[in-house]
Amino acid sequence: MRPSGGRRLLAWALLLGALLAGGLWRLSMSYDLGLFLPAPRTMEQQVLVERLGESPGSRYVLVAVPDDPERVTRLVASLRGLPDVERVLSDLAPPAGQPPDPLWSHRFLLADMDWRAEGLESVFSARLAELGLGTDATYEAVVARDPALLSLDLLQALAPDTETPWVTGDGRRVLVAVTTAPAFRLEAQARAVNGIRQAVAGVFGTDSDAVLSGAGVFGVTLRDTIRHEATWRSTWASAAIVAVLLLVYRRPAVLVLAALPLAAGLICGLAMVSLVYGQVHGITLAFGFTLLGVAIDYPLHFLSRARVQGAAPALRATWPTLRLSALSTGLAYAALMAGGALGMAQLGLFSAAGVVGAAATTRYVLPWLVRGKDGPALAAPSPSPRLRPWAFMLLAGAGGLLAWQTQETPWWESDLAALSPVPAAQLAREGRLRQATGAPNIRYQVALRGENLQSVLADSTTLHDALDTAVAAGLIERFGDLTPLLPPDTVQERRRQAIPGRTTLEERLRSATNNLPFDATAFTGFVHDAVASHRLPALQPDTYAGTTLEGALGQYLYRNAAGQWTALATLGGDPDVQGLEQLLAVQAPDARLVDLRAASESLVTDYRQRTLAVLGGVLVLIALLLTWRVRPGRAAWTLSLVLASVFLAATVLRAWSGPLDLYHVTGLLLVAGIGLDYALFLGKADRQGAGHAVFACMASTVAAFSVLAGSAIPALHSLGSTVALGSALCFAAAWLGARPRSGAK
Amino acid sequence: MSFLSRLLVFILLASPAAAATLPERLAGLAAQPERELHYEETRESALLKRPVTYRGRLAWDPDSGHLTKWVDEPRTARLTITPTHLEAATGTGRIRRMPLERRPELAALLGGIRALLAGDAAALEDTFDTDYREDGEGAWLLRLAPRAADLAARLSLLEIRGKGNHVSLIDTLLGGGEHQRMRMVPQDHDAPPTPLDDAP
Repeated sequence: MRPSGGRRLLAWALLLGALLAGGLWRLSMSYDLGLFLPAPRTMEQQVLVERLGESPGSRYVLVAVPDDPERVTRLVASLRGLPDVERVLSDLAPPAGQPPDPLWSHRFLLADMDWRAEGLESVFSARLAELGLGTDATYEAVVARDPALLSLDLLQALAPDTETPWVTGDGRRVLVAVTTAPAFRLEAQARAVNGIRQAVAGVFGTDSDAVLSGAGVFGVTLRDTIRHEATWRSTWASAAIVAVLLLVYRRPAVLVLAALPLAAGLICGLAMVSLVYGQVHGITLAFGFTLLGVAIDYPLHFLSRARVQGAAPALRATWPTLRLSALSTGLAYAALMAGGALGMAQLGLFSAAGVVGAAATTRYVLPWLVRGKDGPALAAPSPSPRLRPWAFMLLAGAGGLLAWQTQETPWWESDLAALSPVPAAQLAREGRLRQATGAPNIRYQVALRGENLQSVLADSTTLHDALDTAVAAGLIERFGDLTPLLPPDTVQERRRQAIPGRTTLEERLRSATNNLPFDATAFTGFVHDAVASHRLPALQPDTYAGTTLEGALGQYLYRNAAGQWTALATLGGDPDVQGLEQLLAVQAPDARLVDLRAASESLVTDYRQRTLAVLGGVLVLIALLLTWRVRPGRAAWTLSLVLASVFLAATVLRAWSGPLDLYHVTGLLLVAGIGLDYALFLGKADRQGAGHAVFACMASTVAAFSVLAGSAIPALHSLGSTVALGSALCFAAAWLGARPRSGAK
Repeated sequence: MSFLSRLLVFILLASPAAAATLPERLAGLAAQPERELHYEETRESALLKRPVTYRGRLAWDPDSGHLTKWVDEPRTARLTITPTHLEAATGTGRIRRMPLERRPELAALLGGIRALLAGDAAALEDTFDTDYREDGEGAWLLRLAPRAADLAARLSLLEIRGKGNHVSLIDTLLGGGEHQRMRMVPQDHDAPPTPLDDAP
């Protein structure tokens, strides 16, 4: 027995409720942008992806304030007190007192020292001279336990360049607050940024023109901007759709009927992603809902026909085409899953499941909510047969001319930075502030990788010597690396063996100070610490856990999910790339100069090629699917119309805004789905109500996406302009290409 | 810091005059052509078994704005303060260089010294509370107490004593309670060259 309308609705509501509950129960939101990066293949790509949230200085919040040393010093002290700030880098006063552990506790294992009596005497001579320069109590306390000042030298090796004051071209002083949380932990970043703003306001007043910059600041600002932009633009886009639908259908009930499949699609998509992946990225939801926008067309096709013929005949007339359209679109969206990026795979699954859910709701639920027919018979107007060739030639000519005129412009944007939702002006300002602080070059790093930590550390020591040579040869200005923080066990052991026993050391100390005014008994702390170093376990990465130097070590050493160790050296200034590569090839052959920009470009290129290859396969599948319902000739014609529209849209966009980015590509995918839908419905022999529906679909899509196109956020702008333009072109192509007498099988 | 305070000698060492007020004394000091003088100071430290007497020279170059302290005995060392940087070098070749702003108290002192060199009592009083006294026989005492709390935490008081335009003694009381004394000695034009003569 067929279920009644009421029962059917109840079952549908229960099913959706269960899906929603199940989806939400398993769901956790993720904001890790790394999910949207394709799987890396080369070592350079791996370093890029693995270090995305932890690249040099990604935890830096750069603070540019008026150049007033006294107030800047107060600000530094104030920032050091913040719980979300790990440390503060500045060219001003370093924190007083002895250097932090484990650098202090392990100083005799971290640096070479001449333990002979002559070596000690030379050390004490140098200290005697320095005392004559006028020193303070902190310095003397360090000398008493570390007369060779090994710990201060180690600290200086880690410190950023402070020889040049950190002042920007426009005379601002720059400080760096290093946050405890990585850049992508937005809640913690928001707390840190807020605390820093308050500290700045406390010292410089609320009306100072202080500037905060950095990955975390961008993340927090973007989240707020996107929330704001997305909220009001979505509101306006929705209002535009409502206005168009009211204008076209003149019945408020249509709004509810059109929204139901969309809501069902959303729940289906969410439930599927939640079931398969357990978590959903914020961007998956945002873009997924956009891609799902095509599903609003499904109820419109049915409703336009139903107002003429009533529900049952309308369903019979529209469902085969609607099913074909939904399956083809779902297939195209599902292709995103094969691209190799987890985030894009989520997006594909979400949209494909959503489209299928929306189509199913249109088929199995809507007919029981629509009563009899209530509108006049509508016939889609066909363009004049004489007009059609001219119009096609005009469109093709315009497209060809545009493509020819812009042939210098590359088709695709390969710069990963172009995907950044951060406006270019803010990125440029970030670059200027970084330059003022001498923060590491963010493009080049030197990487070493291996399964065994000790062999990586040994290679790192070789690399350290090679980079010293590079500095001397002027190939790089400076570098930062692992060796001062973590020498190999063998080196630590050699240094340990060199430390004399207590009696010998005391004897040498007496001998060394015999001809000097130093009091040997003032250095008992030194003797004690040196002797205690005999029993210290060798320094390991874990020794740094929880210390203030943990972040410093993490900048130079990490272990990936596969258990491989990677040591990184950061470079300062603009390196002589060719010279450095030649030097490394000879002196540190295991090390690789990593050009992060080249790595990101190759990553994007690989990803695009793979996606295009998959889409090519999908196109063949869709063509086969079409021949299931329509004749091969018409299937080919329909696909040609869609492809021509997509190509024309891509050409116009390239001419308008330059090379296409991944948001454009996502938008073009939606355009293809929409175009297929238009071409199928307008291409039917029996298209009663189809013109009305397709026009309503096109008008609402163009209105809604035009609102998004006005956004200053690159992602929304690219997507909005692509879909608004593309759907208008698809409509024009489908309308011009409609063949009144060719019918469905 | 203590070194810089001692450089105040430049300003305060001069020919006899009968100035009775601080502005008059400063005006006299500013007119002095002398740019290098010799000092002797005794350091006490918990690290030392006996006080060590250091001898050296202080040099001021008004054109470049460099202040340099040379330690000639018992070991050689040099500390140069430029308008922007501080550079310390010892005979072992170890050189430490840092922006002057890393030591704001030094920057403030330098400002004070410049004010003294220019005879600008008003600018001097921007940095210090001044207390100038004469005993009626030409002997005088200038007490300088830093106004800013940060500076006062590291440098409590400077006491400069002299007679006429001669400075004889500078006492420095540091924030931690440590006391340092620098005594001026007559200039010796036959002083031996120092191995650190490549100073900027």
